[in-house]
Amino acid sequence: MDFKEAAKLGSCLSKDYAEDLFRLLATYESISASEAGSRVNIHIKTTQDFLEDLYGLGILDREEVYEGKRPYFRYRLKVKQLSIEINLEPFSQNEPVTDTRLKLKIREKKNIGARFTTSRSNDYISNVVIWTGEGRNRTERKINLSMPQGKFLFHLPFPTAEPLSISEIMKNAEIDEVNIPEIVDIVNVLIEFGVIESP
Amino acid sequence: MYYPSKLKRDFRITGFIPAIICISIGALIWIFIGQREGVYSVSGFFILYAAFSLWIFIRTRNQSYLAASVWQLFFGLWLATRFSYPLIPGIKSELLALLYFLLIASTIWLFYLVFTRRAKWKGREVFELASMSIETQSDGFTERPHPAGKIVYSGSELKGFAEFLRKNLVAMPYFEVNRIVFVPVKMEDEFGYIFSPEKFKQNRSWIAFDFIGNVTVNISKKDYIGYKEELSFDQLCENLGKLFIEFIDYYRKGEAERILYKLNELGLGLTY
Repeated sequence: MDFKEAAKLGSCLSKDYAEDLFRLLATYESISASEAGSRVNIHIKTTQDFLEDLYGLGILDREEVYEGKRPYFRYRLKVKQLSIEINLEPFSQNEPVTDTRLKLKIREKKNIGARFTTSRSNDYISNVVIWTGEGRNRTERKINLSMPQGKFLFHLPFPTAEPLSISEIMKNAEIDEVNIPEIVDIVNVLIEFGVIESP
Repeated sequence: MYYPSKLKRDFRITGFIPAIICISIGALIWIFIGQREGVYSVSGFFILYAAFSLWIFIRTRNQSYLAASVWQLFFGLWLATRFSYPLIPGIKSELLALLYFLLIASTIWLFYLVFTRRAKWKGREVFELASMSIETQSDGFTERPHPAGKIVYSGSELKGFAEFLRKNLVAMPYFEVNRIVFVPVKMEDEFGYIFSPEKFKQNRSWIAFDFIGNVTVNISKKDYIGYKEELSFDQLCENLGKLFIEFIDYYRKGEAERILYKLNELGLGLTY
């Protein structure tokens, strides 16, 4: 199951009426949206959407029937058990330390106007506030940082300083190599927001 | 030795305001009520001012404020005994002679401290020293603190160093749980610090030494725009950190007087 499908299933399961509808689906040989909706006391459209989502995920089977009126679908449960399994491996940015990304030389961008808040212990940055947009559409975006990310930004070269590579900054900040993925992640985000530059 | 100043001149006269107010009120009383009343009111102001100076001495432990307090007290008393109807009746002539002697002695003491720069708040000197040999470079300012390095010192050395900087008005220490933060105070800014130290610290430059040896520097926008030109911000932070690391090294070696020599060597004016 990919992440989007899992999210869709999760959304279905989180509905208040999901348990009641699943009970009906497990009890009945087949059931229409109208029958199920009237039984659980929810709108037919809501029931229809729910059943269609489950059909799209391959959990239900459906059959079009004609009973002297407009055709409609009857739904039947295809599975006896539901399980969500997501492979998180593709999300990981783990790469060897010698990776070219760590050689990327960076520093804070000039006049960006971002606000860096230091932690209570004052030895790392706890969050960065960035303003995006113009005029009335100007919005504040606050990014809370993990401690390794905060230590990394604490040692980030100033706008007029010589840029340093990510690995050099990590060394200065005494950050462990296991934190490389999250460091690379925050660098990418801050480059995207224009807080960090790579001259 | 001559150093071209990189800071803008400060023409504020905050330090003289209490004296100006006091003398002005005395002059008005002299004109509208009488000579004796005018002089006695100035005398009263000086005695009150002596209490204020004593309070500053208790806060800073700077000797010049004690000298100022003593001088103001004797000057106030001297004014009160000047007329044929003195404020303190029945005062003996021996006591008056002693008062005159103490007034002259305290004047000499106060002048000595003023002219040897013991009475000067040295924030300006700190920023001048930090800006030496720095190139101009625009758009470098950031609000982030700068990690200035790691050195070795003990907690008692750091506390002693803090006490030394406070007594000599180099930078005012703020004691926090895990570190001591030093805020340099310039002349004419001192009342801001004296009346409300916590408020004063906000938006000011500071140098922090934590108890595991990390040194961090933060230069505020207010202090940065106090320079005539836009200086390279990272170099400025670096230099300020190095300067205080050098200061604590002098202190640890028992050569703390070198700190004052280095600051006084700039030869900045006594009142700014």
